[in-house]
Amino acid sequence: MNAAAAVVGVGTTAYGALGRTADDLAGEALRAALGDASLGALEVDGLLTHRVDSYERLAAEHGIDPRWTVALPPEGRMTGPALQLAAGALRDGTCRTVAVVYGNDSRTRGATYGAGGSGSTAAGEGYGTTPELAAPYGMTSPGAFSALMLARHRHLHGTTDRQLGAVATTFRRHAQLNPDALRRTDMTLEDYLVAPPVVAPLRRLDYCQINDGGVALVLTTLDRARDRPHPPVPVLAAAQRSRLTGSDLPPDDFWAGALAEVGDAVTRASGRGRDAVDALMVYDNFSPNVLFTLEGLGWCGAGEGGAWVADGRIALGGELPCNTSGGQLSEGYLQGWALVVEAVRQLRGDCGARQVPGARTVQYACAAPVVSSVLFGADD
Amino acid sequence: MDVREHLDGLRRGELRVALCRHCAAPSFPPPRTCPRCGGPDPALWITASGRGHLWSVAEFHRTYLPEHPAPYPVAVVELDEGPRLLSTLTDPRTPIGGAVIAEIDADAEPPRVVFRPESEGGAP
Ligand SMILES: [Zn+2]
Repeated sequence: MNAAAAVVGVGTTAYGALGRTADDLAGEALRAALGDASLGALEVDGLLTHRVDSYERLAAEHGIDPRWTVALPPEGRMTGPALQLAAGALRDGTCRTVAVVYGNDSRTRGATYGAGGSGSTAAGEGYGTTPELAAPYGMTSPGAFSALMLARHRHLHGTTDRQLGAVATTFRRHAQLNPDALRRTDMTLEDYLVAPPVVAPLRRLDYCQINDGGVALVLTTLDRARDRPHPPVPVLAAAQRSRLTGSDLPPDDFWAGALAEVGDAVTRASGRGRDAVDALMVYDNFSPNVLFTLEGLGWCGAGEGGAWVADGRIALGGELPCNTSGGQLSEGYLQGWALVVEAVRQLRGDCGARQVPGARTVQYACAAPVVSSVLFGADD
Repeated sequence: MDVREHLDGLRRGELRVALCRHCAAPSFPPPRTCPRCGGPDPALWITASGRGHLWSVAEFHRTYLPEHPAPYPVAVVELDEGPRLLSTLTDPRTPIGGAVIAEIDADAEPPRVVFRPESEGGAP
């Protein structure tokens, strides 16, 4: 397939507890991404915002009057769909240059992802579509949902704490190679095993850290992309598959069916098989999701994720380096966007000590009630 | 989704859940359209036996809400009639896959259903 769209600019803010608004952070990231692409705001004719408070204020503030504007709800599961939309708008000729802009101030706002609040989804801090069935039992948090999935996985497949601990410890080692990562102190498997539980069987170190931050990408058509300062990073393919019915309870298959579908879709559409994938950026809001994603995408059999990650396969230098930035567990939780930026940086060859040598194909995948995957490539 | 029948049932001491009237699939909480067969307004309410098995369980060690001080278990129970529901356990050591029986606390506000291991007190 000839990719129609390519990333030509990325911009990130600092991550952490910043005391700034989502829109302020998004705007800083937007300006950085435009600068990275060497493009002006007036050249942006498509705007997609995610989690910002006001797309209107953001556009007005930054001089953008697009012919195509989309604002997505705050859940991290929307990151893959956002890229799919942006690439589609470029492919079908609706736009020539799309800015995708994300801002998050949940740390400053004191979000706990579990203590109530408005909204019906995880990011809105209630839980599920029918809170009347969850609240009486104290079922409040997306972490608890992941804990229920892990407990079921352990029951069915014997997944061990030491196996799961390989996820957090591996990503921490990756973060130590990333100056932008928030959690960089040493973490051994023993440290992991003695970490306190939050919602057992999940430990504190299985949870990503809630942060503020902004991320923006600028995408344009592939022919225009080749005139930009950085090597273009084509969006080779994107796909999504929802599991929204019955989503108040964990899925029987750990989302494997939907993951297989999107994995097959992006490899088929790109003409690059799974074996061509040099690195995987996997949505690690909680570490069990890494196991479920690897199983669903077919890197190992159902239930084999724990054994598969336990001996270095997902580390830099392994068979499938995952979350080379440290991921959301250690770099910072930007709802998938920092993972997308890492995919771009790997394909640009900008990752320094954590560079995957010769990376040509990097996959993003998110296991959630909207499962999605995006395949990025180096330009041919 | 409209679960008033379930909550009203608990207040009467009954465990009310729903199946699809068109295809008999579990339909709880009841959607307006059955995702399995596409049938409209599928809820056929039944009174469950209260027997089932523990599908999964997680134990909160963090207090998110003052009315739910940690530690406490949150369970997913699959009833013998098919529907699954969130609940809690009298014994957090109940094994996943183990048989459980409902006990309804009709006087709680909101009313709750709690599950105990079948081997404890009831049938062997
Ligand atoms: Zn039906």
